[in-house]
Amino acid sequence: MIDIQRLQFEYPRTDFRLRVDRLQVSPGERIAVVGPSGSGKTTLLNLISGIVVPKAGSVEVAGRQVSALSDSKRRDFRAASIGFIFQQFELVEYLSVLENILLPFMINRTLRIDSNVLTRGTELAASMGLQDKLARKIRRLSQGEQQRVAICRALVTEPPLLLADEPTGNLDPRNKGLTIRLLFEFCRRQKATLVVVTHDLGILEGFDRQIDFAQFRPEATP
Amino acid sequence: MTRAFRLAWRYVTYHKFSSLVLVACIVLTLYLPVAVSLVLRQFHHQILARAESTPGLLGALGSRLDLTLDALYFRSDVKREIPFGEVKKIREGGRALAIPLHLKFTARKFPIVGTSLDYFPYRELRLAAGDSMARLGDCVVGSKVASELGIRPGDRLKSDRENDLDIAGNPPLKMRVKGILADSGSADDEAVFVDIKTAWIIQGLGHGHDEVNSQTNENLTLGQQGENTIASAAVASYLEITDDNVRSFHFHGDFAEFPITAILTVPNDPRAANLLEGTYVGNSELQYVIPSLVVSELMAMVLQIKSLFDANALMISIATLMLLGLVILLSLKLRQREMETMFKLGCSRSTIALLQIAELCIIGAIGLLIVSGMIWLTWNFADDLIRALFLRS
Repeated sequence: MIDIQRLQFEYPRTDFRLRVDRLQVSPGERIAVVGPSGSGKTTLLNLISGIVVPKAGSVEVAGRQVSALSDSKRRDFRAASIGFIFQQFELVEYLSVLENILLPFMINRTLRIDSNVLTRGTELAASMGLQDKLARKIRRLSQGEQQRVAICRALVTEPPLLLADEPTGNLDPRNKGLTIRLLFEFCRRQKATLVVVTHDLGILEGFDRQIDFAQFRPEATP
Repeated sequence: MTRAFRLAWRYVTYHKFSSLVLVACIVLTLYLPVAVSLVLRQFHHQILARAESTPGLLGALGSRLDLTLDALYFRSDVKREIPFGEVKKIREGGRALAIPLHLKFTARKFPIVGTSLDYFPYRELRLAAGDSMARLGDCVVGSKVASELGIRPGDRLKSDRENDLDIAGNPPLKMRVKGILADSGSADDEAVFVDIKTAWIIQGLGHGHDEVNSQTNENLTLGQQGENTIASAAVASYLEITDDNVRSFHFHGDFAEFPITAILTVPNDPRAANLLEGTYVGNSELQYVIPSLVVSELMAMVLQIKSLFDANALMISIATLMLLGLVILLSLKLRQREMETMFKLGCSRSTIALLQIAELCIIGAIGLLIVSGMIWLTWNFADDLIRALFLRS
């Protein structure tokens, strides 16, 4: 599913450097990426999803060279093939629960809302226990409910790849367990690949593989 | 495009307060200068049209502007008076038509205009209902007076007491409404017209009462002084003029000395106008004014003040635009994460920009809609507003 080779990346005007010689993730695999802050874990997710492009090397996702695609192609690829889950949930406060779940369809020209999508969104919400809260505004939800909405939003496009950046960082222990179970359940059902970046060593159980990012040794410019 | 506008609409309606503040900024910035220009244009048009249809005015020495506005717009609290004899002088001179104007009293807050029948054809006023004044105590009311007070020909309309606390003052006169004028779109719509003699009766210069002589009722007389009978306080004046008592109404004194507010003059030709104007140059008590000139002077002054207002409005508009820009920039900064999330979810930068533009468009459109509504209202009620604010005493 993911094949990264001889990747080099740096942010302009900073001393941040990232080098990944080889990283492969198989379809349906569940990977936990751990490592110290500033080691480049989130940058790795951005590279995989095509939000940023490497200075050298290649990033191939689902058989496509993401790093070689144009801006708009990467965007369309991201919308159709990748589900994103963020630590702060990043929900849109002025939209309802259902509208937040359907947000990828509302903001991307390649995705269309039809009755199937609506049904899928509603069923996803129901499977997360949000069926009575579809019309609610986000601020009226608890933290756990907000994270479940964010997960629904990531899953509604039925992406083959799920990227989660500290998905349990803002949750209590009960909701942490629930969130991870929901992600695993989705990946099992959809045969999707899951890459989770986390500091939380308590959730690592159940992942197929753990990658310690310290091994990629991001170098600082002398 | 539709999606962006839908999202933008949700944002605007969710942040009601901040959206309203932005809309209010737009409304105030746009409406005030436009409304002032509009009202001023209407004011200019209205006041100039009325002034130009009034070739000359004779009144007491004093403010030319006050005399003009009093006579054209029937401001009823006029203190300065001139003798009615001047009307006779002008008429006898044969150079102009002279129409007296007596402006001192009101009837249910509308000015009572004591004048002659010449006034109506001169102003091209026609009756919408009823007849013209036929005898003392009759009145003809303007269309707005009739509609606001709900009166019809045959009804009675009482003049207002000069001072509610002065019980010894002239009592109000109950007038018979003889006719209703058709709408003219001028100050005439808001006036109650009476014959000049009726106006003098309201002022207490003429009255009617039971016949008093030693034969009729000795309780009503105090004695005889030559041919004159001295009446006692028991003699009551009539408060309404009827067909039965109209003959008893009489005036004490010389009509030529009776007061009027102004004389509206219509010279026969330009030469007559010049001669008439010249007659009163240097007069220590009277002045002759040409309303159109007075109004032009007034408008020149008003337009000078307006240019200051325009400069001020321009500066305020620039300041408001800068503030709006700042608010928008701060809002963008606050929403950076939201935009970044949308980008990560597959939204293009151009769609994100479109979303921002759509929000501004919606707020701008709401602002423009409100401004248009307010301008429409101002346009439709400008005449009434001008008369209520500037031309009524």
